[in-house]
Amino acid sequence: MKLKKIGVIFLSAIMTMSLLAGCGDTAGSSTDSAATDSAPAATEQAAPAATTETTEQTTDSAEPVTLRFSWWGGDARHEATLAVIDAYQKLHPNVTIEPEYSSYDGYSEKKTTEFASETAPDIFQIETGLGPEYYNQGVLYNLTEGGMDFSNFDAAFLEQNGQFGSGSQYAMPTGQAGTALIVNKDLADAVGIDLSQQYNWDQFFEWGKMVREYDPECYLLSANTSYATAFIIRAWCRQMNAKPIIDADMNLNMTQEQFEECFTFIKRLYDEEVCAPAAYKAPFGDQDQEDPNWIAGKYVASIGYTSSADVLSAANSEITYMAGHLPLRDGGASDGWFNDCPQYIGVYAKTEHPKEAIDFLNFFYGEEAAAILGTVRSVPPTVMAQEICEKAGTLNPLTKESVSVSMLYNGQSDGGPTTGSEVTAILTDAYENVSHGTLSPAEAAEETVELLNDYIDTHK
Amino acid sequence: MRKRTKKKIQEVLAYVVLITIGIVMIYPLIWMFFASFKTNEEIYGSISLLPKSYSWEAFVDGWNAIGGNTYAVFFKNSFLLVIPTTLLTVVSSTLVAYGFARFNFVGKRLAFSLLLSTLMLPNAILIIPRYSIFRNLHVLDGYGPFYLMAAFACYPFFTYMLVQFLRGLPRELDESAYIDGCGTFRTLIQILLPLLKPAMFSAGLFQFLWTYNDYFNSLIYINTVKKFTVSLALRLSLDSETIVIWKNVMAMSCLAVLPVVVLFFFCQKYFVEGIATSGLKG
Repeated sequence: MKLKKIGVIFLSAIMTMSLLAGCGDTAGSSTDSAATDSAPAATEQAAPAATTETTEQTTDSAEPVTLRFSWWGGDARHEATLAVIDAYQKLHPNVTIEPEYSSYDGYSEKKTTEFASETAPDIFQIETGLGPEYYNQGVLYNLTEGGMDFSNFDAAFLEQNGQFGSGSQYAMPTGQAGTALIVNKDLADAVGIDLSQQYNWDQFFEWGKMVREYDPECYLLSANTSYATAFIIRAWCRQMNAKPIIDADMNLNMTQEQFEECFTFIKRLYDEEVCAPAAYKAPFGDQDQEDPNWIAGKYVASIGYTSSADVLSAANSEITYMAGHLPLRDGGASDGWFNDCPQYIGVYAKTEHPKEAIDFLNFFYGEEAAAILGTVRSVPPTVMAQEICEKAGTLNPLTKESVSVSMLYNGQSDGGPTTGSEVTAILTDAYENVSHGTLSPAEAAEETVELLNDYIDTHK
Repeated sequence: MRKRTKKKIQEVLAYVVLITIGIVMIYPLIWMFFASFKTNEEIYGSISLLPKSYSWEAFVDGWNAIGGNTYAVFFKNSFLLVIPTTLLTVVSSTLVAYGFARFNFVGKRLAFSLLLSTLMLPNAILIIPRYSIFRNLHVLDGYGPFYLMAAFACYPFFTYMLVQFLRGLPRELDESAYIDGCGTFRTLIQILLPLLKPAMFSAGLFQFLWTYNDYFNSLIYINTVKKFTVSLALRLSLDSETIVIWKNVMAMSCLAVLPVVVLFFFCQKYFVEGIATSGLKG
């Protein structure tokens, strides 16, 4: 009995101590980070010292600097980015750039850990939807103040992408992108569907029926949960209200009735076999190009992004693909569809070398780098780079076409709380519940509004 | 005569069942091997196991990876990470287990229940505090975190397993060693270790497999591509926005499983023995 008592005291002592330690950490964090940062600096100096020695003739007297640059991607993107780093290092022998590249798997989780412990890399690629979240966390460096060169960019495009309403650039768009409907033109023509003209959402049902009648193995749409959530639910609110589901001031702009209407539409898509069954699509995740039915050309169109055009069209080289128009709402407040960027690149707010990091970014968006990078991050964000790619023939025509289609619309990006990780999870769950038939549209709408209000309450 | 044929039929049946299950179990590995000769269209478009043509180019291309780091680097890193981690785990867990199983000290029960409670905590909860500790120790972006955790018996599962095993060994052995003049440490080394061997082997094997296959911890602790282990390197080229050349990935996966398969066959005896005996004596 006594032993138990001692045990309880001991354990509660540990808990209080850990709480105190937690409080103390914020106070001591400034000295803390200074200590951690000085250690890598010591090792940094050793590494570039070797490189400066070998290139002694060309070296300027600048101090050796090491920058960490992290991004995700596939082989082509890794190779091109590494080549740009190489080219930059040749011009600036005092700067060493440590590449940290990986696949997207676990990338944002890793960033979260690194922000929490102040060990994030100096320069990093950012998922578009997470940009506002990072901006609010204060982990992004103000590039306008830092003297970044924006002369090649379209000012309006920059304002929409990477300023997060602040008036200063906090993240640089890596390219132009948008939502896209990649169409198997051969099948669409055979069934008699014309996606190169403007149409409304209800048209999907009529076309869906035509496709099923044409061939019972075919479907109109291939829709994976994550892309379709953005394609239908988020666009629904933008078109209806000309506002994001949750705006920057944390107002919920979509009513429960609107959610229910939207979910009823989604349910109909599955009930009337417009979309391939949710249970069939689930195992492929967002890897639509791995779905054998897509490879065999059994879908008229795949819901995705301009950046997936390349991969989707590579699945079957015998099919002709085109970029389809995007559905509109009759009497909607806005077209809803907009042109944004596939990712951002930002500089860490706590970097030791902001000047060098921004200098590298200027090079990264310059002419020499544009020629090396080509379209590894979708259609480049500047006209200058687009021309270089077009001349070199590296611009995938389908990607370019899909970007042009996304530019036809006047919608505004809903990047912000709506695209943050928590809200995305709530919306995706709702889509899943409705598409798999586990919840009725009314139930799902009620649950979603409740969860979104909870989210707003905790973040207001 | 009839009895004999009956027995034979039974035997044949047993073998048929075993072979079928065996094939089902090993099929993914065989498929992976043959997939390293197939183009993407073949992988997705056909269910036939055998490829249309054989060429070793996927192994060469895959091996060279990207950015000048070949798989030679990644394999070297993996072993540099896994082998010391495994050895340290076995040594530290044995020492700690010896303490718990054979000695009485103040707070032993509490310490043991704390040890067990850490066993119940999922890795996802431990990773952030651990990460902060390792940051303050300046051992991030390297194998330090893994070595440190192994050296200080931070794998309660193995400690627990060895404690259970040690409890099954008769105390009389220790006592007779004490009478003969052995100290506590010598008793462990000379008397108990030989008997502990199967349990230590299975702890070592498990730790080797788990560390070698581990993705999440390596992902969090290691940044620089030069220091990537094989499990991280395999994911380098997988991205939904680029075209993945699957045969290269498959070829490298084949090579990646080789050390584990070889080790398993090599140490199968100990592996089974360790699990069986530690289970029995628990």
